[in-house]
Amino acid sequence: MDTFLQLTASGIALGSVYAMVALGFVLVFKSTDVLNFAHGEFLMLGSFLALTFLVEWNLNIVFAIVAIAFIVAALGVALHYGIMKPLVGQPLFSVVLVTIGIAIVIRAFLLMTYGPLERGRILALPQGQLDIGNLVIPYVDIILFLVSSAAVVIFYIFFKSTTIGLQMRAVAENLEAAAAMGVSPNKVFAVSWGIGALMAGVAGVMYGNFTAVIDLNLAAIGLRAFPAAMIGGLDSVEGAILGGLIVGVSEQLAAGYFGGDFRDVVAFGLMFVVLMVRPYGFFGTKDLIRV
Amino acid sequence: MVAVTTIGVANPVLEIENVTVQFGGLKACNDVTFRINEGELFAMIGPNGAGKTTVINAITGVYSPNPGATIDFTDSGGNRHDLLGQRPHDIVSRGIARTFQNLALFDALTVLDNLMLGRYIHSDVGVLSGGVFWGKALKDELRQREVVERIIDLLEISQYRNEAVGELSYGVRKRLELGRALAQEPHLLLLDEPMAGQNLEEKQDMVRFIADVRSELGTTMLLIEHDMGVVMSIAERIVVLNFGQMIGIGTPEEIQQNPDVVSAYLGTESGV
Amino acid sequence: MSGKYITDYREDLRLIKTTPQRIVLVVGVLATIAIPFILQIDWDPPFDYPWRAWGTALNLALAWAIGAAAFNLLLGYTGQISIAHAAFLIVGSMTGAILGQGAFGLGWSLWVILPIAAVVGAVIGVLVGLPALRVRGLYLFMATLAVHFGAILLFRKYQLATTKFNAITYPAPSIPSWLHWLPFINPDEAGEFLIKGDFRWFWVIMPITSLCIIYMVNVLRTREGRAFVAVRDNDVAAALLGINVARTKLRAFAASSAMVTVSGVLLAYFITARSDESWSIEIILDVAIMTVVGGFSTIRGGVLGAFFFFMAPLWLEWIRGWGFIDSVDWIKKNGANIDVMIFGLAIIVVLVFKPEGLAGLWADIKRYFKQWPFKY
Repeated sequence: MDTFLQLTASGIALGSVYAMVALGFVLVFKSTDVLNFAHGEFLMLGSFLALTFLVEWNLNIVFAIVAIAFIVAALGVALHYGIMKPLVGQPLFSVVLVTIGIAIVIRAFLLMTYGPLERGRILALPQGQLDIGNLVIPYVDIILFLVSSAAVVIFYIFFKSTTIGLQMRAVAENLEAAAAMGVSPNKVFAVSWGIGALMAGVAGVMYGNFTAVIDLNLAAIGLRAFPAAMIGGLDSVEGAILGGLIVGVSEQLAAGYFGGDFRDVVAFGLMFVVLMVRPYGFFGTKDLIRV
Repeated sequence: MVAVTTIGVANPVLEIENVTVQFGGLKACNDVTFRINEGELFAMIGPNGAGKTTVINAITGVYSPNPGATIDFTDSGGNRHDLLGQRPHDIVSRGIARTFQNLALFDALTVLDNLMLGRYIHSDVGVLSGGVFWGKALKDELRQREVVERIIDLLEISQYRNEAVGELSYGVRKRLELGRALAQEPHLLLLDEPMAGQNLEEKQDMVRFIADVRSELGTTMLLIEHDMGVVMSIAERIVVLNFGQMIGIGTPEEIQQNPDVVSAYLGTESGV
Repeated sequence: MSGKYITDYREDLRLIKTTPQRIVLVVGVLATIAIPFILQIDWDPPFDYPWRAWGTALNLALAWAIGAAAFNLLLGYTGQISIAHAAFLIVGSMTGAILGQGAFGLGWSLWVILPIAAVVGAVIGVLVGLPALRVRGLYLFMATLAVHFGAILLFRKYQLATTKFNAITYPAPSIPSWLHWLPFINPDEAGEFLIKGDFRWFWVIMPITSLCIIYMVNVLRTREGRAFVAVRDNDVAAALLGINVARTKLRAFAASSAMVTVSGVLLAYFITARSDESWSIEIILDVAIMTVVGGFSTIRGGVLGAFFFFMAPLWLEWIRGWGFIDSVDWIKKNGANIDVMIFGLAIIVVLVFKPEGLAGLWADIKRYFKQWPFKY
């Protein structure tokens, strides 16, 4: 039972990062219909930038998060105007493939800048731990959870109660109608890409404090956004949060009980089952796919 | 699937009874009942939204009618099939072909490939024999090609043979779709507005093609058409639908004199 | 205009119809035979380039060409977005290991394994294709991603059970002794003729690749191939032509997966060692580069893409050797990374400016010469 609680606790911490990543992923998909394969690379970029800001330059973590968020968001907006916009009207898979191209470019950039060697965990957060009975919860986990929750809540307020948030929802609901009402789809797409990348970038900074090593395999963590988003429903913001938590917890449990090899398989296997049984996820729109 | 031997001229090909197709609370067609005899050109008319295409979709298994309906098809060998609950590809391979109101050709493929797709059910080349090609597949391709070329001649589309369908004019595409249905060598041909959207000359061509097919192949046809002049001149019997209800059935003369039909349909249309 | 009249249907069904095509074919075959010999020569300056590296790249490109073309068969023609494709490379290397003559294999010869691998791939392909009957488009893409991770886990477990943490090795196959009378087959002291080295492998991989490509081209130009396209473009209309949509999708999965599995066996034996690291998720990125740059809707695109993927680094390396570029320190240090970045940019540039890829470019060039001197 103790093991179970312990694994669940760290699963929730991990899951909250996934939730943040999945949220950004779903946001981009919801408003632009693009399945962003480079989402993991955005996260990885955040982690590597955190290395520079926190380890090399020893900057304040709050400042680093804000700065990295800004950089990654700017990259997201630039990608929209530079690459995604000219692709409007191309078949779906072309657009997915373009994001794979972006992913490869970011990987190559990171290889050039940081070299192929793996780096150790970032130690910018308090390193102690909280003991509750037999349960050991590192402070990092708690901070991870708090920051992710804060990011999710801020996003939620933004999405539900600001004008641009309303416009985003309008565009997601019906592009033509929104455009006819004077909403500029391009602006909304750009903002979506910006926020989507931002979420991944911030998650990357946090995850850099959590993971054992920082290397190019971090992109796989970004890919967890796929199962998280699918389980919740690809077009549902609430679903992404729930999906992230489910993936995080089930992954930690599987790794704890069956071994680390099962991490990927559990996350994606769970997604597979949900896809077959309930293709639109738990919160998604039912008519999203017709078979 | 009981083999029946009916004596006399009126061998039924399609018998449908009490066909009702419902979408939510809306009945797209209600209690439609008619029978088409072998060699007959049977027309279905009615204003837009009367449920004509719905009936064709029910016959071909795209929609399933409400319980209590009967859709029986007798194939060229005299075997009777209950089409209810069967999947479209099974129904089609029994010997029913159709065209579509809004063209369903494969634009990326050439005219030839579209017609060859019509031959799909008459061939059994798979991924193995097709991959080996030389031998069975080549022989089959040549055989199917001959049938297809006859259709190309019949429909006068030989100059388009190797062109991608997406680049052809609407009229040619309509003709090609008839061709693809003919390539299936159907016992029953369902034509969903084959003349819609065409100019007078193209319509005349199409009427001529339909007449040619009937005289050469004797194919039984169900024709949906808006042009009353065409329908009255070539159909042997007509069923009239209005808001999903059958309001008349009979020979062109009977239909023209049917008061319900006149008030519901012909009364609002000119040029009978 | 090429003024060639086709007078019967049999002639129209030939792949090679016109005189220029025949010339290209003959030149192509001669060049293909000559290339491995040319690469063997030790050239004197100024041609003293390490040509042997080309032999490896050529063999890799040929073996991958099967996989990339098969990917296009599924994606380009049938419209099924399946990432599980990379998983069949794993299936291939596992089949090769389990049945093969390695330390933990059953001891069968590669020549027996290849057709069996095709069958195994086809069967598993049908299983993997089953989700395609339930979900489509991006959802299928996601579902097959799960298959990929499953396959990696399976391979890792198999590797752990046999070779522990070492890579699985594949011994060089040999020509059966009853074929030793063939010309050019000179057995070594042990009385064996082992397939080793780029030169010998070329004569194994090249014919197999040719056969596989011809197989796929043939499938696509006959009944099932047309049905694939019909299912891709309009599945309702396809069903109303008597096409069993579900079965057709599964057939496409089977044919394509069989080919990729063959490719996986060849690659494993040619490279001689495979581990779970060899088949990471990055393999998907490689497949993406090949199929996008080549053009993801034709068989030709897959083949061109595979060649681009393996040959381009050699050209880039050669360019980097030029005096003034060679003197830039940063470029020298980041050579391979620059290649990766160029590949990524190539994907983006191709999709934005020329979505048909190299195959489209090829068609444009052909059209230009056919219609020359007219512009349109």
